[in-house]
Amino acid sequence: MTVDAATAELLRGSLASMFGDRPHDLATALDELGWADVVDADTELAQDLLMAEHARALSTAPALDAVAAAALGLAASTRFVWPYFGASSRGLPSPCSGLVEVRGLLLGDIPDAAMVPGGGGVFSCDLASLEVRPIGGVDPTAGWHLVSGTLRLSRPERDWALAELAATRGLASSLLALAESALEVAIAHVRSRHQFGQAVGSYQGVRHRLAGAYAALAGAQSLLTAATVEGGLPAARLAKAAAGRAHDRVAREAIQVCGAVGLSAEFPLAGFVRRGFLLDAFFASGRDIIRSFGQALADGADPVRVGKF
Amino acid sequence: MTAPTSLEEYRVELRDWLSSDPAALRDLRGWAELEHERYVALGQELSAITWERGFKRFGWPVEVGGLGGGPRYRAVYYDELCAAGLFVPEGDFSGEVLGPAVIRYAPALAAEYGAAMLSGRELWGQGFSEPEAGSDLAALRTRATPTEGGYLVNGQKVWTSNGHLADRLFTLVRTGPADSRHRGISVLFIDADSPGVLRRPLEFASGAHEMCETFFDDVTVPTARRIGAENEGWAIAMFLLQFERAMYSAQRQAWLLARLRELAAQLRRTGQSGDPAAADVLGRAWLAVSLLRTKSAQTVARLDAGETVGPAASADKVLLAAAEQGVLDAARELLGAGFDALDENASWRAQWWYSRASSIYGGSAEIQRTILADRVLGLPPEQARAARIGAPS
Repeated sequence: MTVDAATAELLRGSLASMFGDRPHDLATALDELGWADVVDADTELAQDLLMAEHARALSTAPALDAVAAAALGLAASTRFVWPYFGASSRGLPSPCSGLVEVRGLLLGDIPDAAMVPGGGGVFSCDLASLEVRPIGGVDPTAGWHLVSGTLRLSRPERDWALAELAATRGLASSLLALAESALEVAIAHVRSRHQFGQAVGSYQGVRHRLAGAYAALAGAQSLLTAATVEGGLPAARLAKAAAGRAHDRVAREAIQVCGAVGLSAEFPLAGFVRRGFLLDAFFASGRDIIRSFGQALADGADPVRVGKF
Repeated sequence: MTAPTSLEEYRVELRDWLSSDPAALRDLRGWAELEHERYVALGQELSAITWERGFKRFGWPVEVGGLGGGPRYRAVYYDELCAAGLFVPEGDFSGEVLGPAVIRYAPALAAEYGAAMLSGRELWGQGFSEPEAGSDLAALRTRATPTEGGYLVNGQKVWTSNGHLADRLFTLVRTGPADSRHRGISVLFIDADSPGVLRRPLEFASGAHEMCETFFDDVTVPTARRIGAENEGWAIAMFLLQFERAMYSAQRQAWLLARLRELAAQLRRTGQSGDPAAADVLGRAWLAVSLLRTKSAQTVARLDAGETVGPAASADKVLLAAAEQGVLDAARELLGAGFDALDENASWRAQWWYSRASSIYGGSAEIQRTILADRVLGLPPEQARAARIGAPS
């Protein structure tokens, strides 16, 4: 079964209002939406819509956990300790058994237990013995926490690679949605803001900045679409890096054309910009991904060519 | 290869053939060192070989000697050629843009000349720009005056890629009143050796002769050489533009990915491939081409499905320029002083200069951004421009 375009739009609307209501319990809210059926019908589309609407709403609900849980066939309420910034998206370095030093991220509120990726799988862990504190950083409104301490690990369960792939794509979806939202804010602003007797959006310097940003975004969208159709982690990683760079480009142009108000925390732009910066840095940063592609090329390995004619 | 086959089968068969190092292609391997004119001739040889072999016929209609199958086959053809260390024949850059328009608007001319162009026996040039009509193409002035049985053409074209080497010139001419702009333009298919056609190669800043200017002095062109109806030229140019967006981008991404691999190989030979800063530069360039690749694949698929490629495809042109300049700027940065100093890097330098053209030809970067701002983002119109001209429909 596939989901047609009209149904997808209805679903997008339902997700937007669900996240708009600031759900206290995401798994229950998703359950009420019939989420599991959508995942069964078209997993990639379901995850793309979920992560895009989560981003647009600047939600703090643990949507990425729901995506990973679905990929691993676990309950939507399953929570994860995600690799810390700069760490491999594979999770804890192998081998990991016995007492292991853990430093990771909780994306949202603090559960009693969570799954920790490492050794190719995930470990069930009780979080009680770990230190948990808010991360601060560029976007404290994301509600992320740093988890650190020592855990005793036994045998890994499931295959983390499935969750890693889904999460990488999901983050790309979020980044594109944040970039799109930032572009929309900028467009609305330059249409309504007048200087020298005309809309600032009628000046070529402003128009061309936003048009260039749009082209970068359209390119990154096509890359994510192709990466999803063609499959594979390398393609998904390139799509995430592309989405991060497109977001960065849109953010810079949007901030410029919005003038001083674009720098204000009270204006809607900043939220979309900060969240995107956070996601780009997370779970294999765009910078690391781009360098790894460049290094593969330099080493004579042909990096994946995403896009099929 | 002659039997119609699925796209995937075609890809695999072509790839297998190319990787078998066929003897016919061995003489073509030294292409990178050649001066431009010889390089163009080598491309014609490559087309002759693949046409004879059947691969080049896929994607083109039977009316021009093709085997059918649509533009995606052609995109795969260029992609595999470059992946195998070859190149896109110069004749195919203009061929992809002009071929579909001749097939659509002048079936008789397509039947007569299409196969000759596709098989590398002749080269077509695109006579669009004029000294006073660049971005504002609708201001063109080359005049075609009706005569008995045809037209008398007078005027000047410029920046015709490979125009001095071309056999036919797909030429936009003014057939309406001087101020008729896009309403009074027609297309003529002019033999380059017609009496009264004078061509002068233009030396590019790189030293290469890639383009020419053409003077038309009382050139007689029969009515049978008109493409489409009189004054239908703008619609034809807009039709053709879709192929320029989609197919040209598909060709260039294939070429650019191959250039990046070559750049990496050159860095390995000089012991520079372990530098993380180099990896960053290469990675960014790879990403820029990947964006062009996936976007053009989407646009080619739309063309293939018979959909009209609208103003949003101006983003493809913006991505094209970013990819071209991203790759060649990467080469310039990573090859250091030797890029500009050493004779052995002449080919890189020529390509760098040509990459600068990518944000000028086919509608400049500024034109593309204006189209996107007006027609995709819906931004308020530019006051000064709106007052000066009506936007062409």
